Amino acid sequence: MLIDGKNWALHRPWFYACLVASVLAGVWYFASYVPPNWPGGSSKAGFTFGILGGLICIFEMLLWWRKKVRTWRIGRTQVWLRAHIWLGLLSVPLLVFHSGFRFGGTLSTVLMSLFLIVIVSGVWGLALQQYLPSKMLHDVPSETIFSQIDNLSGQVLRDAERLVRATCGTLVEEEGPTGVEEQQEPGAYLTIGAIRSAGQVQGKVLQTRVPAAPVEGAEALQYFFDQSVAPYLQEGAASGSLLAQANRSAVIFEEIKTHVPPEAHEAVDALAGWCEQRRQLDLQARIHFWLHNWLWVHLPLAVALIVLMFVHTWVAIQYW
Amino acid sequence: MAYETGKQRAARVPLDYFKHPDWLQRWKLRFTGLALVFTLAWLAIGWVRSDQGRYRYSRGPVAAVHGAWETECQACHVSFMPMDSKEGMGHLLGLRSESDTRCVVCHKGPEHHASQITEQTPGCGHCHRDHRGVDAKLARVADGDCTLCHGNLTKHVKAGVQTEYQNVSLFEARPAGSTSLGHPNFKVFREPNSADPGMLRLNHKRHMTPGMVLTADGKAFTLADIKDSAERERYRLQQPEGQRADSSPVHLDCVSCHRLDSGNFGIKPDMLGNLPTQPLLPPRAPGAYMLPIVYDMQCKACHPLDLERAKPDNPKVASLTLPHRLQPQDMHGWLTKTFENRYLKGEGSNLLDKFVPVRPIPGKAMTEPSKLTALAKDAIANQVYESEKAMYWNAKLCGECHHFDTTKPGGKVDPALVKLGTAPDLRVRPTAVPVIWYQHASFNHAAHRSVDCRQCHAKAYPFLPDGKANPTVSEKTGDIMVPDIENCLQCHAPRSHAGGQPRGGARFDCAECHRYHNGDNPMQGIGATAQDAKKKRTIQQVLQGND
Repeated sequence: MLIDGKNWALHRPWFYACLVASVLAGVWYFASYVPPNWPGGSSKAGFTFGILGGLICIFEMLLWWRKKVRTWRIGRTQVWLRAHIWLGLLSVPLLVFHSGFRFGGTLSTVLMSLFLIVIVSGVWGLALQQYLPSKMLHDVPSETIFSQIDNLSGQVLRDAERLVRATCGTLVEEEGPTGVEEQQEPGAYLTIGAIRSAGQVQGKVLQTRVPAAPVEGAEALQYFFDQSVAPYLQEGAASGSLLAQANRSAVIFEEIKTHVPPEAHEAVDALAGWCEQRRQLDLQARIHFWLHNWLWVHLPLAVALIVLMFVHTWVAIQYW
Repeated sequence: MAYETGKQRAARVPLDYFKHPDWLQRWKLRFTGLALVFTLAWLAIGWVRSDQGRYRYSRGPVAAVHGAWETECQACHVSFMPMDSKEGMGHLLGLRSESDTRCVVCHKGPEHHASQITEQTPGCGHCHRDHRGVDAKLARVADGDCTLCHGNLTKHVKAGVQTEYQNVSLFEARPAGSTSLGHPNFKVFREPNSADPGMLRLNHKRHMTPGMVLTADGKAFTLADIKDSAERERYRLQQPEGQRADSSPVHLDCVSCHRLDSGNFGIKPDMLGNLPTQPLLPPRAPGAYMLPIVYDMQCKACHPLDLERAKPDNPKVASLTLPHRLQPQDMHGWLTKTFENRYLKGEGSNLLDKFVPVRPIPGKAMTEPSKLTALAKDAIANQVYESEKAMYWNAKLCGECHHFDTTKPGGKVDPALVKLGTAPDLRVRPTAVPVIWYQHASFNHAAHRSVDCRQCHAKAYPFLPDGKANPTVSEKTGDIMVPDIENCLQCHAPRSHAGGQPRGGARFDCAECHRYHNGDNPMQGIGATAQDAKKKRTIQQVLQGND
């Protein structure tokens, strides 16, 4: 969730409410201080903060269900997320006061450690969300759905292969589930397309048009495709190809053009375009990973935190 | 560059893509499941342990003194009842603290003062907060727990009770005109005309002067003047180097009389006569207070109660040493019997140089036997009379150190009370030398043993460190020679530097010097029965923390 000048007005009430609540909590807590012992969890202030902090933790977990069950009409998800962020931050002073600035025993130490890691991971995720999405928007114009990157790359690889074979004269007609279709048009250009299905509706999207007739002397293109382009389109940066670097890729493709007839240059440009797309998808994958990997820490530890919080509540009340 | 447009890319995406989570989401769910499993496994493992996980759930290690019940929560806690019902949520919810019933099983914790309002008195758990680590000192309560009442005493004592104590807020000098800020000076210095309550005449200036001589032409008291050889040797060892000859003047210092441990007196049990050795020479004394002054240990060597000394030129006159600790009435009887025995044995006396009646020979008829008996009785009575005059009014025997009272109301104590033939109407006033001056505070000399005695008891010294005469030296018994609060504040204050000199740094919280429980019996120690457990239990019961 972005917190910037444009939507600060939406966050502002939350910010001030949490700030005021934190200050009031601090005033109450420090007013309860009897040297040398900080008020603990069973003091009036500490107990109250513990209750509030626990309720906030439960609310924070409910965001998961709110996102899962989208038919819930209990407030907009955006509002929930804003509440999640600001109430989560408010829980920090509340629960630190509740602890009396002590880690205490094993359970409470584990609890406080989990809590702090969850908070830090959440803040980390929030910080990344201020920067990475805009970077992705700017640097990845070819953005697609993250989970479909491999699928899309596979389709692009097949299209590219057909284009190269058509250019080099080694193309064999085939049809398949993707509905790759060849069509000869007047003017000797080949159209590579994809057929999409949605229920009973099927449609076709047209792609690049290239010369239908093979180009003499373009065998180097086939070799280049098999050795460099195909692995890169398949595996991306993991292939270790030099095509992963934009500058080197440009140089390589320029050089390839010197090895093939001019009629094949359009095919070369198409390959270069697909490689550029692949680079962007690689970048998108990295950015997406960093945008979401903090959840590997945040969510599991939050679940553990909730379970142990209930145990702590029971034990604390039994032996307070 | 003729690569795909966004629309073209979107065309490649299956419409049900969202039903299949990507690998990031799958691992997120796997890690979440793992976290849940590990958490439950950790709880389960804790449950199957011998303590059923109680150590894990504890809010922190208990103090070392409660270590035996680290995992026996029920030893101190009553389930779902707060430890402290006077403050916090327990108080807010109106819950009664029943945990006090668990505490008193081991130690009663008698009330502070009978005058305090019981309803305002917090429970054990309010002041003694455990689970703060093995090194926590449970008896080291916060000042706020004390000033809760002592900050405004009149609100916390029962109606109609007048308290003699003043309000306290902090251990620091009380500002002039204030009745509540800081700490008042110690009681002995606040009372007008206060004096040492001891009824034993002692001149520290004389005793601390080498040879006990205060005038230029005075005769110094030397080692040779200590008649008892064993005592002479005992004091010889205490003399400075080079001053151990018999002719050397006796040097006394603080430790000549004031000791923290009986082993340092150099007293052998046979030097105490019939006195009980163990009470006078207690083993392993804690070293907090000086051992009491006992005539037989600290005084007798120089102040023997020799009524008569044997003389080489008159072997018939034997030494006569008076017993200590007899009141004049009993002493009168002792003297009479002693002189009667001497007469019967034919021993002479320096008090009988005037008349020695003839002792009748058994079996032979005497002329006027009743007259001889009467004469003997008169002579003995005179001996007793002369002895008593010497004892009570001569500055060498009883009268040198003791104060006397008479039973006659308003009667004057003077030599006229000693009469021939009757016990004098005199009573030796109890010496009442205080062993503990600050009865409502604790002081430990052993903790201060690195400090020179002079720093707190300067009045005991006739000379200053530079050798000049000390103008404040004590010459009268009534002088108070214990330090006041200003002396203590030099160390027991916040750390600071004044004029380049360090000040303070030692602890100055209430618990450093004061105790709470059994406050109405300040002279009882930790071993008093008031502090005992509610009842005795077996070892297993103790370890389990229940009855």
